[in-house]
Amino acid sequence: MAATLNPSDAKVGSQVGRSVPRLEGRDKVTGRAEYTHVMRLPGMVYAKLFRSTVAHGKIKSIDTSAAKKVPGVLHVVTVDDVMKVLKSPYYGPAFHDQPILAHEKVRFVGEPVAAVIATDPHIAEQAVQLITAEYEEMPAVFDEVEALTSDVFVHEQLKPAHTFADLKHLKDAKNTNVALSYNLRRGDFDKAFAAAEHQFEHEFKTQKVLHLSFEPFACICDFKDTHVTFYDSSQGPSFVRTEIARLLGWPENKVRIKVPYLGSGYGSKLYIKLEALALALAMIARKPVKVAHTFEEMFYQITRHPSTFRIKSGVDKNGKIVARKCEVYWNGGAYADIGPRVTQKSGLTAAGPYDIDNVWIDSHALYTNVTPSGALRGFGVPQLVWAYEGHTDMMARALKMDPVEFRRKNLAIEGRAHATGQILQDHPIEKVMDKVLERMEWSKPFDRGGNSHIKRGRGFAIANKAVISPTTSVAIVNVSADGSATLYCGTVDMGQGSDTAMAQMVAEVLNIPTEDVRVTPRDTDVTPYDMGTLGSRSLFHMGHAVRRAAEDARDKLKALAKEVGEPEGSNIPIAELFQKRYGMQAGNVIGSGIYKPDYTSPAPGTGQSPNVTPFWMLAGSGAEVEVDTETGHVKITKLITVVDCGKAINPKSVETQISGAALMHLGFTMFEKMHIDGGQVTNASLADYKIPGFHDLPTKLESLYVEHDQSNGPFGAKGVGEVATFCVGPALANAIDDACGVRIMEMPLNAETVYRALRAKMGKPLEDA
Amino acid sequence: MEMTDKRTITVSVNGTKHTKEVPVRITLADFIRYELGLTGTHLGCEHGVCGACTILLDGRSARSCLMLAVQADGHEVLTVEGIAPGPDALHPLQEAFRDNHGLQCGFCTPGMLTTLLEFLGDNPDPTEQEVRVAISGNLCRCTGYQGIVLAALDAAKRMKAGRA
Amino acid sequence: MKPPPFQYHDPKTLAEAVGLLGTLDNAKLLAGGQSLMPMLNMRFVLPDHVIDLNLVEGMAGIKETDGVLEIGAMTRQRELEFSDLVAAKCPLLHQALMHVGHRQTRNRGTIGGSLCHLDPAAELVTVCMAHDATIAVAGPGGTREIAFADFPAGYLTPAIELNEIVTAIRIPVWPAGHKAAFIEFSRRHGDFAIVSAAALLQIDGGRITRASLTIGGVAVAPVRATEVEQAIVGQAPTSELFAKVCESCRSFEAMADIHASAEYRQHLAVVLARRALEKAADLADNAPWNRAH
Repeated sequence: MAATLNPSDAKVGSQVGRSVPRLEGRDKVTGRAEYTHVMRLPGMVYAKLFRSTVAHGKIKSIDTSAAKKVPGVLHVVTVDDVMKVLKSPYYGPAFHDQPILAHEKVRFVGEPVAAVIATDPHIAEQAVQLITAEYEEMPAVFDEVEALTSDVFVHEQLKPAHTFADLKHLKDAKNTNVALSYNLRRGDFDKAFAAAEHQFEHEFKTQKVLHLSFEPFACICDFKDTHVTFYDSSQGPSFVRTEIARLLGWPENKVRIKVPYLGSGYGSKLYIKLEALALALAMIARKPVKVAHTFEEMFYQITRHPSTFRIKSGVDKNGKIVARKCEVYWNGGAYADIGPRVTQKSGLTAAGPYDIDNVWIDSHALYTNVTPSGALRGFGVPQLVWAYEGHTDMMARALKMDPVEFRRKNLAIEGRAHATGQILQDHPIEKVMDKVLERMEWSKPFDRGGNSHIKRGRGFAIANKAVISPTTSVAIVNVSADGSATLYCGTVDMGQGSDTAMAQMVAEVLNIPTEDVRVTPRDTDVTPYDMGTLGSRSLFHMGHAVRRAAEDARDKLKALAKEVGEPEGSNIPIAELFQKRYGMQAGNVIGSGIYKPDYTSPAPGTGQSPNVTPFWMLAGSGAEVEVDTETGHVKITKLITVVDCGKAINPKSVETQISGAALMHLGFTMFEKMHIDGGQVTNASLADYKIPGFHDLPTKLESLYVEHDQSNGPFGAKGVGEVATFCVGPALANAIDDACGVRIMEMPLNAETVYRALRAKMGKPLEDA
Repeated sequence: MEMTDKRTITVSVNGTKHTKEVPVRITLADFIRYELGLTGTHLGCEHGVCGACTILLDGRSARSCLMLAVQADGHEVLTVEGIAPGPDALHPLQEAFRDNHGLQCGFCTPGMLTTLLEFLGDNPDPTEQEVRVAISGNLCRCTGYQGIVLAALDAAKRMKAGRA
Repeated sequence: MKPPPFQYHDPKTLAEAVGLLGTLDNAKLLAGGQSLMPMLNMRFVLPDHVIDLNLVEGMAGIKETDGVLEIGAMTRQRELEFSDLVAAKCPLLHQALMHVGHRQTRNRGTIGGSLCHLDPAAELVTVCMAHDATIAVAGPGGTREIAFADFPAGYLTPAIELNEIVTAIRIPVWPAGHKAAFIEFSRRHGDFAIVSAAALLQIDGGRITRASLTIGGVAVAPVRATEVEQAIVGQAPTSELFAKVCESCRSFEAMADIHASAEYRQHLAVVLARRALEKAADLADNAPWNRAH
């Protein structure tokens, strides 16, 4: 049915709130969806990388002579060649600290040192094996706590980018590995802690894990003297454009970033990754150059931050937490990437969803000699929750209080002030917790198991996160002369279903079926600015921009109707409207929308702000486990995750986001770990780095949401990309403790770790043979 | 010494016979993707773990990254592009994946579909547990697998209804 | 990730294959490809020649002659999985196959390929050790047989000459009614086991009359727990007996890697040995570790 101006059967909520199958579903089930990793351009050549074998050292020499002789090899490139085309070869979102190819020094095993450009990827890979390099090895630092006081410095001098005000003071800083220290002070921690009836102190750690998107990193650069085009597997094309323009000293309008569908990202494909390298190589080759990683190479690109979290709480005689100190050390690896923002934006929530008058937070971003760390689905929050929700259960146990009642006594409910000073709104944490407990049947008797070797237990955890702020999104809705609508928005659909959800919002405003809305592929020549597809911000920020753009288009159509003499309330078909105005099927109506929330920067030193975030994400998870006490094997019989989604724009997409995030985090919690020996990753393959498979699905996996209208959200909605990751780890650790009385302070909770803890508890440690 | 040993092979892919000269070292996956331009077969790990590149060789699922193209000489290959009965129609398995949100980023989807196509042929009426076992050689990093299991069970129903 | 350049050969007869292997330098045999192909893709091996055995006639098939199951080296794991003969005569092999990789890898992977790759935790290797199998090989000088106990020469290294090809596996079957159990402790189903245990028992008149117990994944090759075997023959099968005698498995020499320490592997050897015997003797039907995953 043709779109009309004021359909009489228009219903609020006919498009929003519907489980529309994803718009690109057909392309994906027929193998027709386009990904950068599978793209080829005419005349394209291929690059492969030669990587450092030492963790920290000065480059003495690089011998590329044998590689150059391989037939089919066009160029073998080192940083000296790069600097002939790009004067300053350094890039990065927070610091301009990362060289396109290693410059004078290498700072981690796996750092790109040279690149081979060849007519065929087989040849490039073969030639890479013929390159050799000599290094003068230097002492290296790997541990985040050591890095704070170590006299080994990863960088000679810090080089903050101009993007973030709170990094300016670090310009040219020397003799430090600290890329940012964020501090929050509320009340008087020392005094309140000293006076508290009960005092607790624990240290938790998380390991190095990585995203492992199934489409590895890929970028094609097609450089012309007057403009440059990238085909890029990127979550943030606008940022890439800005950074490439800076490197070239060009205006942004000469830089074009095209992004097809992404074979997922989870934060790995944010900011700038392969693009600067691809640019330099394309400038040298003067042909389109493709840089595409293998799975193995992803271990040397970006990972999640390992962390150490020292947490102290003072509790009064009634079980009220009166003081909390959080010292968090983030292992940022050799280059800062977005680590300083993780340090600050997550750091401010380190004290958890609790109402505590006296809070002290120190959160440190640290350079070390390992693969850089960055954003991974949760932006640091899962590492924090791992600590503070383990700590919560340990305190409840020590106080002989029920873990539910202990939390209830301390929850930060709406109307109370968060540790940052912001008054909490749309923060129904108790509603989320209650739903978890209801689905866990927490109040009913629990079967602890009948077999002597199998112990059953259960546990849960709750958490909140502040969406990263302030960020900007812009959208355009174009109504063509036949009445069809096209959305131009920079949010990258990497699997989360954003295209479909955004189209639903357009359809809702324009009273048309979602399936009729076309979402253009991302192309910075066409799609307007967006900060990036990150931090669960898109549905809220871009959602607002999209709704505004659609409303703007609708208002302009109404104005057009008035202009051509249609009576008020006319339901003229849109196509006729254009016909009337332009005399034929011609013309467009362009609606645009922009959104940036209000924000107040945290005060330096105290981290206080009345408005640090536009919305809170809330989650709870509950787990039931069976621990085989003879082997330490943990079988997860139930895993329930509940989030507050505001309003489910597409309920099935919300559920899939929850189940996907929960299972990914089950992997991080139970077994995933990058093993690193002297800086060398020893399990850099999917065969040796295990991710969850079908058999790791808990017997029962429930993915649920509550809808608490987000009062400032588009259609009451907010993002759910990360929220289901927060609580899986501590819920499982709490359940294992409940089952067999062992508390594990460091992920992963693999069978050997659990078994060793059981033996240690029995006083018979499984000693080294 | 540059050894570019080549062979001429004839492979039937999705019902069409292709005769091509190929370097002997290229994998079947690369042959399908680069020589034939059928890019729906995705390469993930390239060492036989993820299952994204699964194709059917004479009706049996196989990892195309673990076969040489020359080994497919004289054989029939089915890729994701060949599953649908025609340009305007989807196979019930494809419909079930789309309708049950059995995919997110879609990178693993072609391998899931080919694996399940073989399995549902062998076992038209599987239990949930049988589905989990049958497809356990395919990994997905996005969905949490639940939608995929539901899609497979729904596909079995649709395929049965189609035969009835 | 791309294979290095090599020359490809696809002999049609065993004699031709043996001839090629004897004359070409730095050649690798390609069977099902499920181990060699990943190593080629990752360039862990750089052969100048690849000799594909897939077109060699007469190297696949399963038959029983005089109480011996003879399996051609190029028999695919799938054929073994669906073989009624294997299920009836060699239930241990049948059970173990369900743990071997996945549907797609069993469709291509061969028994000979798996044995020659000789991963210490590979299920088929453990089964051959448990069954005292014999490996038939062909070389320029003719054919010979190797007792499986002598087949592993070291980590991932079979005791065959560079110019020899494994042609068949001969598994002496146990009498009808014997009991078999294959269990493993793996990080994830379909992965190689961290530790596996294969038990064969013959029980007559309430007493164990013959026993075989093999532990895979602990040492560089599967180990027969001969001390346990000797201690239980002549005894009535009970959990108490098995618990007591399996403690000896803790003394096996054990490897350590990123998946498990040596002492944890030794501990698992003890636990899995007992559980496999219990399962074979039908003493553990309801044990949670025996339930479907």
